[in-house]
Amino acid sequence: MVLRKILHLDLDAFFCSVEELQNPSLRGRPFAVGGQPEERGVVAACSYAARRYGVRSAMPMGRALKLCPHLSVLSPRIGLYIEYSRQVMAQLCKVTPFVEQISIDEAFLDVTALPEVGENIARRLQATIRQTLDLPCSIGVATNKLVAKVATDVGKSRAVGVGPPNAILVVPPGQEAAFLAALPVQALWGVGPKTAANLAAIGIVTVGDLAARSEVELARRFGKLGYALWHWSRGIDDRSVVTSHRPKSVSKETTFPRDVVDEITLRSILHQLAAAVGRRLRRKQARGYTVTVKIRWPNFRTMTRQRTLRESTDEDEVIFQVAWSLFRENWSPGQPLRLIGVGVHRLEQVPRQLTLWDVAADVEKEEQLRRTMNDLRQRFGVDAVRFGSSLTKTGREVSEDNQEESGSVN
Amino acid sequence: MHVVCLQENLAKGLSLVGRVVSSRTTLPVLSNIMVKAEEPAQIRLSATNLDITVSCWLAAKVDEEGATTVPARLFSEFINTLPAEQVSMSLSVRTEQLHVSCDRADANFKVIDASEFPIIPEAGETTLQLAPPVLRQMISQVVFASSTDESRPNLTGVLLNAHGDTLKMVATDGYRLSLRSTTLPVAVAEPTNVLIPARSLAEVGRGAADADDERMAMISVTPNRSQAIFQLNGKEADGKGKGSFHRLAVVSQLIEANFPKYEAIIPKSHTVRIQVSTAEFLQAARRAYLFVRDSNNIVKLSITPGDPGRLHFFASSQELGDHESELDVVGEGEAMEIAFNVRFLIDVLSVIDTPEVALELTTSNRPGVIKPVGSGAEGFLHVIMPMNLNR
Repeated sequence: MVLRKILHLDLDAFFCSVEELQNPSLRGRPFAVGGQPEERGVVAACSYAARRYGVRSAMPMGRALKLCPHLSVLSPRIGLYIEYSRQVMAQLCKVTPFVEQISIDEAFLDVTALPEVGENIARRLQATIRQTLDLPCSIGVATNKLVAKVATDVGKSRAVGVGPPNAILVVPPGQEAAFLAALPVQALWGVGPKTAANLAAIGIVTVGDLAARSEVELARRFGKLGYALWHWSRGIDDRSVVTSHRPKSVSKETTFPRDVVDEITLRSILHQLAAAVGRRLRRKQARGYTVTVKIRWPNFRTMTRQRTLRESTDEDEVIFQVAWSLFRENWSPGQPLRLIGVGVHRLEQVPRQLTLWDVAADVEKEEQLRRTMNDLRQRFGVDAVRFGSSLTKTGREVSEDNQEESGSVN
Repeated sequence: MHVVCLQENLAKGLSLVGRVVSSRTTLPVLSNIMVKAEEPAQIRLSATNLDITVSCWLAAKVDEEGATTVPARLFSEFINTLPAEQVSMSLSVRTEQLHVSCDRADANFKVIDASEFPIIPEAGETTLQLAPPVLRQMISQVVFASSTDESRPNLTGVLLNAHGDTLKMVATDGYRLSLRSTTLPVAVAEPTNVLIPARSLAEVGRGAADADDERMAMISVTPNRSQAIFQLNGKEADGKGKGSFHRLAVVSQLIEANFPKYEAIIPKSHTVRIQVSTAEFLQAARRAYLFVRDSNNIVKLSITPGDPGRLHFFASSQELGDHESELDVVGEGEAMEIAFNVRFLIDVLSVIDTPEVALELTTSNRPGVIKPVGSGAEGFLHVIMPMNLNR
């Protein structure tokens, strides 16, 4: 197999860098972007000056202000960040079509096909983004996604000085395991605090500790994750750079303003939800094998039931019929309900022949916006951004918990 | 009517006109072929489905003028079974039957009177002339790209545009577009822009295969601009028993709809260009097709530019298995992956006769362009929209 050249790019303190561009007087000052402390907001991003006081992202804003009392708190301007992010991604796409945007400020690039060494590509890319957009970024270069991402993080942490790190760290082919060995296991992408604690319990603290264990042992203790951990610890990761994510499920649910008991009303709502799910599937060119219904009683007891079909579907009527029969099996007339939902899971993509009249660029833009919105929702909560048209009269949105794009291991 | 002709000529003529006869028609005479003996020495065979009328003139010894219509299928199949001898046909007005005899076989066909057969428009003023081999190639290079979806009538036609000494034919089904242009031997007096049903052009193309390449094909539009007429001259009889004809005319209704503004669809630039052997590309596409013809027709192409660069094919089917292959190419630009309906690739590669072909791409969801390369690559361009894999 050909040795790949993967770049991981992370914009340094992205939101803050954008704010500094808008208001240069912020440069060098401790400030944070995020929710106001009185609203129990959290730090979405903080300047490098703020970091010296111990302020970190995801920290409650109240705590950040205790650490750094003269911290300026700015409300996030999401539209602005999206626009800058789009421009950065456009720059990346000039380098290679194989760009996988993983969040508003991070992306992988597969530059295997380019003749230059990865480091030169990284340097040029960093310079281009600085010159054209005046934004700092750090880049990790390695033979796979895992090591490239860790390289970025390590590069950033090694940076000295007060400004943005502007780091570039290259892990040469063959050096992956050695590079990772001394790092704590949390450095591995996909190892959260819970897994780290479980590993620590059996004496595994560093990636090197992990690599020293046998594949069989790890697999026995951690199942599928164990296999992945063992490979990761050796710097092995053959996940490819994918240009966008597939949704794994599509679902739609509604919380009633007042509990509903009437069967005809429930049936009609379920019908609408099924139609909405069907529409969304068709728009995504996807079909699914499993239909689920979600039911919540006034006491918050919640139940999800599913049925798997022999053939995948994207048809409203099929989804509704299955959902309705599942619903009827689990609900007795007279029971008031607080919420019902319909979902379709185990999706497969239906490839679509594009037409000459497809304005391909628009499709791409829409997809990018959607991804960014999801990203922001994950960071700020579902209420952070919504499309203007999705607000109902009461200001309540029919919640959508689709696209469970969990970082599952292939 | 009494007329004598050679079996092979009659069979040839029937095969050229018979294809337009519809088996399901509410008007019985449309299931028939008109046979008309014309002074001094020819038979005219005509068949129509009202949209297309094909007429063919053959050499014959005419003893008595006259015309009638005979059931197309029975008559053609009967003539095909006869030996290569003289066929004699005579109409009995009294019994309303056409008597046919050849060698020791005789038959009587029930006829419908020729007066019931639709009137066939005569050729108007010749608008343009073209060498049959060029006409043939132009038709073959565009006609397949038209749509068969009758709900979009403007896409079921081929745009024929003549301006000065340039003739263009364009067809698109919304997923791909073929454009072929050529220089006319004689410039047209007035610009012509008509939409001809692809089906009619296919008939013309078929006729052009048997035409005399030395004599110009004539294309004209009736004065009321509702029909186009294509006329071709047949080859001289070669004496080898292969049928020949004097003249073939295809009269086609024109489609009254606007052809899409196709110029905007044709990409003006590209970021990747590869040049590859046409035969190898076609072979690889056909191989990939085996695996996907029953499912989604998708072939994924990975392009690694360079000299030599690589063109990698991947086709897979859940039921059948998968297939990969690779070709050497000469390419410049960026590496990319793109998916196409492999049928579309086969269609276009089958009508390119230069040894090398170029594929130009921009991104994986933008149209690709296929062009012949080198001498003989005159004015042909094909645009294909990729498949969106929605990864």
